[in-house]
Amino acid sequence: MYVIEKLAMFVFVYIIALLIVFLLPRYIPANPFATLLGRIISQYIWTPELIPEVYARVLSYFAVDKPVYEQFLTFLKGAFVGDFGISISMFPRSVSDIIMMALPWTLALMVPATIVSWTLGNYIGAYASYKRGKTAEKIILGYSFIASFIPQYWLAMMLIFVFAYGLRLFPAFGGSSIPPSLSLSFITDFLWHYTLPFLSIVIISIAGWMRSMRFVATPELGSDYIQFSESLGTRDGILFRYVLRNSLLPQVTGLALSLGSAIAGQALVEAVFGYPGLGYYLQMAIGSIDYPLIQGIFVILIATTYLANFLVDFIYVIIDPRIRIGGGR
Amino acid sequence: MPYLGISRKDVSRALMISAILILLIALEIKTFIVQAQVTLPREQTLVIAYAGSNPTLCWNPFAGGVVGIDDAMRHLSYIPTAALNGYNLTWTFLLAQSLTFDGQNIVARVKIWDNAKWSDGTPITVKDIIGSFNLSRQIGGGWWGDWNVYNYVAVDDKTFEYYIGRRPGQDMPKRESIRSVVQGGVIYVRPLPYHVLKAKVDEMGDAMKSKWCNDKPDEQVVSGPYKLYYFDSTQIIYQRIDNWWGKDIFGLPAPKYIKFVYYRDAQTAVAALQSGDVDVYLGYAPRPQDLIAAGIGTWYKKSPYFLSSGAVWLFFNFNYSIFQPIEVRRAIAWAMPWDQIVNYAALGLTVQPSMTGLNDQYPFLRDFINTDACKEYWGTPTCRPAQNLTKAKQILDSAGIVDRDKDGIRELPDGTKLKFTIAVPATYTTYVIAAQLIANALNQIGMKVDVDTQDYRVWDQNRRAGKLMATLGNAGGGIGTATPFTDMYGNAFEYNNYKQWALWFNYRDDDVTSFISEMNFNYMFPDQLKDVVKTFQEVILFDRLPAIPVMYDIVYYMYNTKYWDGFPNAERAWWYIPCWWGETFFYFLIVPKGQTPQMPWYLKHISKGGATIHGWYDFYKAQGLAIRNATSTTWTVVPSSPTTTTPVTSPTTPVTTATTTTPPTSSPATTTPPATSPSPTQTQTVATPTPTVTVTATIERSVTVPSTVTVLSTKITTIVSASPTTIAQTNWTMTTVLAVVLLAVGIAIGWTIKRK
Repeated sequence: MYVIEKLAMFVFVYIIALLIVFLLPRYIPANPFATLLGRIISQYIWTPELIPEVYARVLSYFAVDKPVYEQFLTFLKGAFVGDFGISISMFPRSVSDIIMMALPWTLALMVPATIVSWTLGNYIGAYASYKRGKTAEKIILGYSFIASFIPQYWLAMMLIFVFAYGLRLFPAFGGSSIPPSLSLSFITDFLWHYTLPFLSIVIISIAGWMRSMRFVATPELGSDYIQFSESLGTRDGILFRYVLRNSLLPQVTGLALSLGSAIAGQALVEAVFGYPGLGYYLQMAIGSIDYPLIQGIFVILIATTYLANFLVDFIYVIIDPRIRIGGGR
Repeated sequence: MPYLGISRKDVSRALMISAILILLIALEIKTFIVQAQVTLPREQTLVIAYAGSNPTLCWNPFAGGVVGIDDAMRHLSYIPTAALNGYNLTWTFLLAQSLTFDGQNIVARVKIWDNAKWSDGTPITVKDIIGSFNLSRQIGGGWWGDWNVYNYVAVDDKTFEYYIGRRPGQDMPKRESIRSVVQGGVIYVRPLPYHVLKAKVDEMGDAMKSKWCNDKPDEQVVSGPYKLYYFDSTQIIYQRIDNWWGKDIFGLPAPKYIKFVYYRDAQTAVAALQSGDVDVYLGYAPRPQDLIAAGIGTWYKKSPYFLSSGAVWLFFNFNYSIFQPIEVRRAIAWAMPWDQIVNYAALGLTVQPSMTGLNDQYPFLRDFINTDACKEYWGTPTCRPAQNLTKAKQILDSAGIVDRDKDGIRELPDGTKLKFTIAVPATYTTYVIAAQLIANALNQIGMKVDVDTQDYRVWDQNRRAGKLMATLGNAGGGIGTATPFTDMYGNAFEYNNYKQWALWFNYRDDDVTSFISEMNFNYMFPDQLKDVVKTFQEVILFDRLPAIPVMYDIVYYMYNTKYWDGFPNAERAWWYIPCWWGETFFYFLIVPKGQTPQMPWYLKHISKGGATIHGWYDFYKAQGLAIRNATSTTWTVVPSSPTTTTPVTSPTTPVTTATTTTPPTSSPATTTPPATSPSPTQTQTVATPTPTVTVTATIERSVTVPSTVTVLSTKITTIVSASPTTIAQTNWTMTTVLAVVLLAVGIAIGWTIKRK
C-alpha cells in the first residue's frame, strides 16, 4: 500500500510539474521561430515566393498550430516514452539526441564533483565539530558560511578571470578541443577543460556539506556513548570514526538527492564555461524559447529528482526501522 | 589535531604541498596538451569562431530547408556549379566546366566537369540534380526547391539544359515576352548524391528528413573538398579529402582541418582570437582598434575597419496619421544625428549611409547612385547630408505643424501630437543606442519620441503584426546577392508581392511594384538598369521618403595570422566572407604562415585565363543577348595541364575560353566578341536593341509567412544588455588586486570570528 501511495503521488506530482514546464514558456508573447524565419528569409532572398512553403515545412515539425491541450497531450505522451520532438534552436536535431549528447558530459562533471565534495565536506565538517572552539573550527565554519553563499556562476567567472584570462593556465570555454576517444591526448585535454568547472562546483558544494555535517556531528559528540567511550579511554581516531559514521545517515540522504539532481547539471556553471552538458543546453533553450528542448531537459530533471526522492524513501525504510510504517508493531 | 595523531603543522604543510602540486599539475597538463594534440595539429587546422549562436548539428540536405543543415556543409561539402563573390559580384565556376546561353533555342546549357565525382567514387551526374530534386519534393524536405527544376532537361550524364521562359515541351515564347532573369537555376545549382538519398528515402520514407542527420563521417558522401570529421555542441570540424576530384583543377585548400567553434559570448571568442587559438572570428568585437594594435587583421586597416552590409532603415508605420505628411518624414530625415550614430552607436565601425540605402563600399554599386538627385534633394552628391535641425524645424513650421498648446510637442493641423515610440530589439545594442540618439534629436525639433526595447522574438512578432509605430530594421539584400536592388528595395518598400516591411508598416505604393518589376527585368540590360534604379531613388526614396537610412550593419570579420595567412582584405579583395552564395573559395586562399598569398588563377576573369565571370556584365548581359538577339555565348574552363597540387600551391593556370556566336537567323545581325572584362565599361559590339520598357509586367512573388504559432499572451519587457568589454591579454594587476582583497577579507573574517 505504501508503495502504491508513493507511486501514485509520484505520477501525480510528475504530471503537475510537466504541466507547469509546458505552460510557462508559452506565456512569453514571442515567436520562438523568429530566428529560424530570419534565416529562411535571408537564404531565400532570391526566391521569396518559396519562403512561406519552407517556413510552413519547418513549422510542420512542431505542430504548433494545434490547440494547446493537444500539444500538451502530445508532450505528455512523449514524456513517458522519451520522445520530446525536435529542438527549435538546434533545428532539426531531436531533443532526445541532444539530451543523449549532453548527458555523458554532465554526468562526467557532476557525479565526481558531487562525490568529492560530499566526501571532503563531511570529513572536514566532522573534524570541525570535533574541534569545537578551536581556530580550525572557526576557519572551517567561516569558510563554509561564506562559500555556501557564493553563487557558483560568480565563482566560475572568477576562476575564468584568474586562471583562464589572467594566468592562462586553463581554457575558458568548452568540454574538449579534440574529438573524444580513449587516447591519452583526449583524456588530458578533457581534464584540462574539466578542472575549472569541477573546482567551481566543488569549492562551493563542499561548504554546504561541511556546515551540515558540523551541525549533525556536534550533538553526537555530547551523546552518552561517546562520553562512555571516552571514559573507557578509547583512542581519538576511533571516537572520530564513531561520530562520523553515526552522523552520516542524513548526509547519505542528501547525497542521494544531490546525485539525483546532478543529472540536470549546474546549469549556470556549464553555461559560463560553455561546457556541453545539460545545463548548457538548458540555458540556451531558455534564451531561445525552445519549448521542446526546455521541456525535454526539465522532464529528465524532474524525473531523476523524484526518482531519487522515491529511492531515498525506500532506503530509509530499509536502513532505519523507526521510519518503517507499521514496523515493530 | 591530537585526536587524530596529526599535528597542525602537518596539515598546513600538506595544504602547501597540495597547492604547489595543483599548480604544477596544471602547468604540466597545459604543456602536455599542447604536445599531445596529435589528432588535430594546430598548424594544419583553420579555426573559425562565432559567438552567441548555436551550430546546426545536422548534415542531411533534406532535413528542413537551408536552416536544417550546417551552413559550412553547403560551402565545403555540397558545392554548387559556381560560387558568388559578394564583394565584387563575380561568379567563379566550380562544379561547372562550361556554361552556354543558346540564343537560338533560348536555353542555358551547363556542363559539369567530366571527372567530377562524389567522395565514394560515384560520378556526379545530372541525375544528382534532377533526381535528387524530385526526391526532395517527394518527401517534402530539402533546401533547393528554389531552383525551378521543372525547366531542366538532361542532355547527357554531365550536361543539362535550362529552358528559359517556358518548360520543356512548351512552345518557345516570343522573345519580348520573357521578362525575368534566370540565375540560381543555371549558375548556382547544387547536386546532391542521388544514390545515397534514394537509398535513405527507400529505407526510411519521409522519416529520413527528421530521423537522419547524416552525422556519421564515414558514411558521408560529398562533392566538395571537405567532409565532417567531428562535432559536439560547441564545435564542428571538417577534414580535407586529399583525393578530392577537383584537386587537379583547383588544387587543394591548405588547411587539413577546418574547425568552427561556437563561443558563448564575444569576450571569450575575442580572447581566443587574440591568443591565436582562433584564426578567424566572425562576430561582434568591442574596441577593434585595440585588437588591430595587437596584430589582429580586419578588412580595412583604418576606420571603419570593417565592411558593412545593407542599410538599416527607420521605418514608419503609415497606419499612424503623424507619419502621413511628407513634411514630418522629411523633417525627421534632416534631424537625423548621423555623426553621432556612426561614432557612438556604431563606434566608428561603419560609415554614414547613403540616402539611397545602397552601400557604396562595394565597387559594383557605385554606378547606381543618383548623384544628381542627391544634390537636388539632400544638397550633396555624396548622398550623405549633415544633420540640420534648423531646416527640420522650418519644414515643420511651414507645413503648419507647430506647438499650439505650448507643451513642447508639435501637433498636426488636426491636433495630433507628434509623439511616437521607436521599438528595437533589446539585444541589438547598436540599434538601441542609435534609436536613443534619434529620439534625442527629434525631441529637439518638437517631437516626443521614446525608445522601447523588446526581446527580439517579441519585437519580431509585433513587427509582423504591424503593432510597431516605428522601428529600425535591415531589410536585407543590399549586398551579397546579384540582384541587390530588387532584393533590398523589394523587401523594404514593395507591398503587393514581397509583402514584408511595406506590408508590416502599411506602405502601399503601386509605383514601387512597377519599379521593382522593371529592375528585375533590366538586370539583363545593366545600362538601362542604372536608369531604373536611379529613377526609383529619386521618385520613391527621396521624394516620397517612405523610410530613412540610419546606418549600415557592420560585417565583423577579424583574423589572426599566427598560423595562417592569405585572409582576404581591402588590399587583397580576392574573395569575401561571409558570402551566402559561395564561401568555398575563401578556404582556398588561406596559406600557411610564412608563405606568400597569391591570387589563384581561377579568380581571374575567364577572358584572362581564369574561371570567373561578372554577375551583371557577363552573366545577365549574355542572357539578355540570348533572349533578345538570339546571340549565343559560351564560357568554358579548359585546364591545359592539370597538375597534382600540394595543399599549399595553386595548380598551373589552365587555358580558358569564352566564345560568343550569333546564328545567321538572328534578327539583329551582330557579332559579339568574347567577354573581355568584368568591368562595367567592357565593350560589346552587339547592337543591343532597346528593350521595350513597360511598367505593367509583374513578377510572381508572394510572401505571406504563415503565423500559426500558438502562444499565450502577456507583456514582457527586457533590459538592454550592456556592451561587453575587451579582456586584456594578461591582467596581472587585477589578478593581484583580487588576491589581496580576498586575503584581506579572509583575515577580517578570521579576526571577527576570533573576537567573538
